[in-house]
Amino acid sequence: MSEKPLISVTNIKTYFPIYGGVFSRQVGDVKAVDGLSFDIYEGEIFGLVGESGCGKSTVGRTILRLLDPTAGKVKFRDDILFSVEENERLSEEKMRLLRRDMQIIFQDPFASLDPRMNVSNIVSEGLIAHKLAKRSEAVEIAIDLLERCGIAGENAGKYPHEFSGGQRQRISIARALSFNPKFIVCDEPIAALDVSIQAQILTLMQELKEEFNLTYLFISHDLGVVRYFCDRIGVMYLGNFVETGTSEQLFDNPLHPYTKALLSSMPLLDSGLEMERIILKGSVPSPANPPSGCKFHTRCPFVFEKCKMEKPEMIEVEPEHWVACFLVENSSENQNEG
Amino acid sequence: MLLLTHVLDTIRGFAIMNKSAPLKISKGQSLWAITLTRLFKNKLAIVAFSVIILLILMAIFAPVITSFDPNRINLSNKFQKPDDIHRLGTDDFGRDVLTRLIYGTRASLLVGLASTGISVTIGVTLGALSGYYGGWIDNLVMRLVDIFMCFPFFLMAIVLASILGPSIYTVMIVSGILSWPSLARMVRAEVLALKKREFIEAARALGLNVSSIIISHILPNVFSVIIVYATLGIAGGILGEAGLSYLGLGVKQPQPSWGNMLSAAQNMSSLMFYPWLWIPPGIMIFLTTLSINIFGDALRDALDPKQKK
Amino acid sequence: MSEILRIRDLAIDFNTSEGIVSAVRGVDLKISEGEVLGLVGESGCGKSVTSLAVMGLLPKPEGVLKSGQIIFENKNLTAFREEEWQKIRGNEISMIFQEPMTALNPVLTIGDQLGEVLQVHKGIRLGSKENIDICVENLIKVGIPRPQQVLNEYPHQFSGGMRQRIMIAMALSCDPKLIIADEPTTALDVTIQAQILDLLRELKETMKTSILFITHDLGVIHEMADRVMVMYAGKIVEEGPTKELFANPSHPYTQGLMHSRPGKVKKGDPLYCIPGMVPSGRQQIIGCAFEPRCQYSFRPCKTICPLLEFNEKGHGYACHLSKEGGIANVGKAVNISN
Repeated sequence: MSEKPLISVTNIKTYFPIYGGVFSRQVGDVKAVDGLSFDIYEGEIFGLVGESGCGKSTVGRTILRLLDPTAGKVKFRDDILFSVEENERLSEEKMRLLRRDMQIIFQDPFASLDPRMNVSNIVSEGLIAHKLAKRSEAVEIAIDLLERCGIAGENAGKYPHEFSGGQRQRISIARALSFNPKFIVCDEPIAALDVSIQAQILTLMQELKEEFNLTYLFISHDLGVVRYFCDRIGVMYLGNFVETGTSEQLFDNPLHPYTKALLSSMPLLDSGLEMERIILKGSVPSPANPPSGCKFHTRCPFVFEKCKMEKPEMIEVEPEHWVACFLVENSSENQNEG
Repeated sequence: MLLLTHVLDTIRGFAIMNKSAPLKISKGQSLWAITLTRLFKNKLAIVAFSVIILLILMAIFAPVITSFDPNRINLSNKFQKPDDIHRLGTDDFGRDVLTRLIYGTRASLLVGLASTGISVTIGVTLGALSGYYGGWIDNLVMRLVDIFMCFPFFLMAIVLASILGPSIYTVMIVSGILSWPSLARMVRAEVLALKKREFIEAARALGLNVSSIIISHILPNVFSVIIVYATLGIAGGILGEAGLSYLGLGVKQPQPSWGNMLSAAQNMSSLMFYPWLWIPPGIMIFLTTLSINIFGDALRDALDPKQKK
Repeated sequence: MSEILRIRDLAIDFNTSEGIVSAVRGVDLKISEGEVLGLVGESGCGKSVTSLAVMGLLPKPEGVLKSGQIIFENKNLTAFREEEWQKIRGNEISMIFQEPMTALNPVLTIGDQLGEVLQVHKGIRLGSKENIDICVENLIKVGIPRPQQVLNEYPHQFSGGMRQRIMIAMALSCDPKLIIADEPTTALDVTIQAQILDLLRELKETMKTSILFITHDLGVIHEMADRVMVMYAGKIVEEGPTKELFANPSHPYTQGLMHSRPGKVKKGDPLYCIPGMVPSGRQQIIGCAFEPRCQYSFRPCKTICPLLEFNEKGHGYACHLSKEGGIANVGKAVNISN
C-alpha cells in the first residue's frame, strides 16, 4: 500500500431536499450523508457497511459526482473533484476525462444495462464516446474484456435480457473496465445474486483487482462478504461513521455498540462460534429527522444522558481503528488514569 | 419505423461479424425483433396491417387503379346507380364515386400522417426536455400542456380554420397542434422513470454527454410509447379530417376526401335515395380507423408483454 | 409427534410463452406437529412454487399440477375446490410473505385487515369487542407497542420490520396448524432480521405451530429449522436434522453452497465457487440435475437420476456417490481444494 491516498474524502455531506405544502416549498432535508471523511489508498479495498438508508450508496455516487454534494471535499490523486467550502469544482470537460479512471458497478444487474443495446455496444460505448478507439477496435476490445469477465465472445451480439443475473453482472464489470480505470465504486454488486453466483463474482473481482491494479470502494450490507473481501471497513449509521478500522480490528475487536449488534445479528453456520446476541430495539430512525446527540442513542443498549445531548467525535483507539462512542472514550480515559 | 430499426440492428450485427472474422458472433434477439415476432403471431394484427398496406398502395397508385378523373364534372350523368362502368355510381355532379373514394384515401392518409408528424415532433421534443431537465423547463412545458389541454378541439379547429381558411393544410396543422400535449406528458413520464434507472447513471459515469445519453439511451427506450401513440394518432388525424371536412372547414371541394364526400351527401334526398353517396366513404373511414386502432393495440401488447392477459 | 402435512411426488409445470418450464420435479416432504422444516435453495429451484401449491395459490392457468398429492391432516388438498381452499387458507394454513410492503392492503387500517380474517374464518364480527380483543392480543404477542392505537393506523405508517410483525400477527389470528414463511426476513436489514427471527423462535416455543420456513440463506435456516431440505432444480437433493446436515453436508451441491459463503473463509484465501449456472427448467433433465456443475460427476450421473438415501440418523442425500461410500472423502476433497 502506498502512503499517498488515491481518494481522499473530507467531511462530505449530501442532503436531498424534501418539498411539501401547496407551493412545494422546501420543508426539510433528508440527510443521507452527514459528514464523512476517509482516505482510500491505492490497491486497497475499502468497505462501507450499514443497513438500508444509512447513506452508503449515496457516498459512492457523491464521490463520482453523480449526485451533487451539499458540503465537503473529494480529492482524486491531485485533482480536487469538488470542494463546496472553497467553491471549487472540476470543470465538466476535465471531469469527463477523469471518469475514465473512476467507474461504478451497480447492484441491480437487470436495471444497469440498457435493454435495447447489445452487449458489445454496451461495453464499447465509452471507448467510442471518448474517441479512444474506432468502432471496430472498440468492439474487439469489448469482446476481449467480456471474455476476461467470463462471457464467451460469440455472445457479444446478444442483448441483456438473454443473460442471467450473474452474467449481466459480469457484463457490468466488463463495461466498468473498458477504460482501464484505477478506481471502481462497487455498489452492492452481489446483493441481488444467488449464493453460488456471489462467490463466482467475488472471485472474479478479486482476480481483476490483481490483474488491473484496481482500488475498490465496496459497498455492502453483508458483513460476511465485507469481512472476507475488504482491507479496511467503515461502519455507517444514519449518514455517519460509527467505527472504522481494518477488517481484523472490526471483526475481532468491535468497540461501538452498533458494530457489536450488527456482528451478532449475522446468522451463522456453525453453532460453536456464536457470540452473545444483541438484539436492537426498534428500527433505524428517519434520516430526515435524525436524533440529537449520538444518532444511535435511540436504539443503543448502553445509552446514558450524555449521548442524547452531545455528538461523540471519532477517536483513534489503536492505529487505523477509529470509534465514535462516549463509552470507548471513557474506558480509554479510565485506563489511562488507572 | 419498427422495421427500419430492426434492419439497422441487423446491419450492425453483420458489421461486427465481418470485422472480427475468426470469432463467430451469434446475433442476439433484440427487443425489437422479439416485438416483431410477437406482433406477427397476432392474426388480427396481420389482417389490420394488410388493410393498412392496401390503403397505402391505393393512395399511391390511385391513377393506375381507376381511369376516371375524380374532378371531371358530367351533369348529364349525375346520380347514376352503381353499374358496370361506375361501380359505385356517380354523385350530384356526375363524378365517379369509386374514383373519388380512391383519391380520397390520399387526403385522409396525408392528413393522418402529417398531423401525427407535427404532434410527435413537438410532443417528443418538449416531453423529453421537460422530463430530462426538470426544474423551470419542466414547469413551463407542463403549464403549456395544461393550457392546450383546456382547448375544446372542434371549437379551436373551427376558429383556426376560419382564420387560416379551409384547406387540407389547415386540417393537418390544427389536428397536429391540438394533439401533442398528451404525447408530451407520456414521454415526460417515461423519461422521468428512465432517468432513475441505473443504466443512465452508468452512462453518465462513462462520461457520455447529455445529448448522446438522450439519443442513444433515453429515446430508444421511449420509442415504444411514441410508436404506439403515433399509430393511434394517425387514426385520430383521419377522424379529425373527416369531421372538419364534414363541417366544411377541411379539405375543400372539388378535391375529394372522405369527409367532404359525406358532407356533400348531407341532404334528405341523398340519404334516402342515393345511399352509394354516403355508405362507401363511411365504411372507408370506419375500416381505416378500426384497422389502425387494432394494429396499434397489438403493437402495444407486443411491446409490453406484461400488459397482456 | 403426529404428521401435519405430507407431500407426495409433487410435480408442477409452468406454461410460458417460451415453452413448458418444470418448476417442481417430484418433491416428497412431511412436517410433524410443532416442527420447523427449512426449505433452502437458490432462486428458481422451486421452493416458492412448492409453498404456493400447498396454499392452493398456483397462478392459473400457467401453473399446472402435473402429479402428486398434498395431504394436510388426512385431507387431500389437491382434490379441493376453490371454496374448500378458502376455508383452509388463513385459517388452518397461513402464510407470511417476503414483502410486507405489498402483502398488506394500503387503504385499509391494520384493525380492518386483522379483524377481517377473524370475521371470515371464525365468524367473529368485525368491530365487535371480541374481535378487537383478539387482534390486540395477537399484536401484543408479536411485540407491537400500543396495540390499541395501531389498530386504527395504516400500513404505510410502519417500518418494514413492524409490517412484518403485523403480517405475523395476521398469520397467527386463527391459530393455524401450519405457517408457511416464504423468505420472511429477506427484505429486512440484519438487525431487524435478528428481531424477527427472535420473535419467530419465541412463537414456535409458545404456540407449537408447525412452520415451513423457506429461504435462500443458510445461516437463517441453521438458526430456525429443526429439519432442513435442500432443493435444487425442482428436486430435494439433501434432507436431514439441522445439526446433522450442517455438520456433515453430503451432497456436492450442499457442500458447494456452504463453502461458497465467505463467512468461514480466511481473508485472502480463495472462495470456493460452484461453476456454471442453475439449469433453466426448460430443458429436459434426465440424470442428476447438478451433474453439469459437479466436480465429482461420473458415468451414471448423466443418465440416471439419483434417489434420496437415508442413514440411521434420518440424514439423506440424492447422489450416486453415496453408494461408492464416498461421502466423507468428498467432503475432505472439497476442503482440500479450498
